[in-house]
Amino acid sequence: MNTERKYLEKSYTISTDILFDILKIVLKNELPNNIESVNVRESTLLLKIKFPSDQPSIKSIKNDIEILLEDYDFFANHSPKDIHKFSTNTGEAEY
Amino acid sequence: MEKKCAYCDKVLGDYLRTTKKYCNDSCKQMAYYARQNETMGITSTSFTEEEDASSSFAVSSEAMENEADSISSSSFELDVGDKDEEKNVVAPISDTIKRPKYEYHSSAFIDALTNAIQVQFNPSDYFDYCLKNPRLEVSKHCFWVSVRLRCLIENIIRLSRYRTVPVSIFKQLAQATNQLCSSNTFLLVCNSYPYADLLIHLRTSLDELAKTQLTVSMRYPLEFGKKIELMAARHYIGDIAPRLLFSQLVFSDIVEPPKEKKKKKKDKDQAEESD
Repeated sequence: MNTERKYLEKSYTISTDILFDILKIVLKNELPNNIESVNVRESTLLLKIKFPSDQPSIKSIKNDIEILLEDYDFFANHSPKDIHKFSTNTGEAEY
Repeated sequence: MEKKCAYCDKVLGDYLRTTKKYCNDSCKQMAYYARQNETMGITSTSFTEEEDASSSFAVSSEAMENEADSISSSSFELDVGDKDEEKNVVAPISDTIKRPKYEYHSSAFIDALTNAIQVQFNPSDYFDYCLKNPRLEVSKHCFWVSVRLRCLIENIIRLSRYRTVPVSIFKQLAQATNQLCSSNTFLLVCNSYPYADLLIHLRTSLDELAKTQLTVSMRYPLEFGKKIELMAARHYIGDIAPRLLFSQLVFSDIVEPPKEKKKKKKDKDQAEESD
């Protein structure tokens, strides 16, 4: 019987402005992670997060991280008129 | 070897076929729901013992009897029958499962930025007016200043992330900010332009920075509040001004006599003198 856990791997470029907020989620949910690269000049890092597919509310955790990154990206690199370019993510939990 | 139900672990009777997995249809249905919930992010552990017991799908023999009674009585007394049915009615699965609610996290930085953008100051009306009336002089001046201010703000935010920045870059920025502040275009709109104060404040701070620093390179970390203010400003200015590079922009609008003519004059004078 195959007992290996299945993971969904995703890499995110995270600015230091919200790095601690993302790490808080990652560590609180004990998600395996790996720093792939660091861009000192831009103060960003590429973080690979492994989402175990059998963990409950994994969709919500992933959603939580992506909402924070999307919000930051919107405020840092876009203007109010670009709002239609972003997905209409309500931030509500999915079960 | 005794075979057990895959859902409730009851021993399956000998009278059932050998390939049967569940003792009855309700177990089969419950196992299906459990599988569905697992794929959607809920494990079967979220079913508490009490909930399992009260689960409408594990219908006990008593309930079956009550139901039979209610059906028989409902055929004579409709009102009573409805009440009995309400008691024994199968509750939807969503009511019986206690779902672990995930608590979404918030970021102090994004919250402060949202507050600065949505609550504290909103120049959208001014920019919308300029966008709707692009031929007006005020709008043209506003575009001109906004493009340059956006470039300055983006560069300041970018430089604040670097470990070290050469002082010469700060001198260039200070010079550009000075030129922008003293430009005729800015002076024409400075009373109504929403970020006039911000620009003047930038000029003073960059001037001080360029004068006081004696080292070749240095760090320029922005304070939390200042960074929020600049990012909020950039966010709104992004609506009206496209992104252009520092090298592509001229920050002064004061027309100077072309240098080539000056040079030619000098050369002529020198030639005459030598003759």
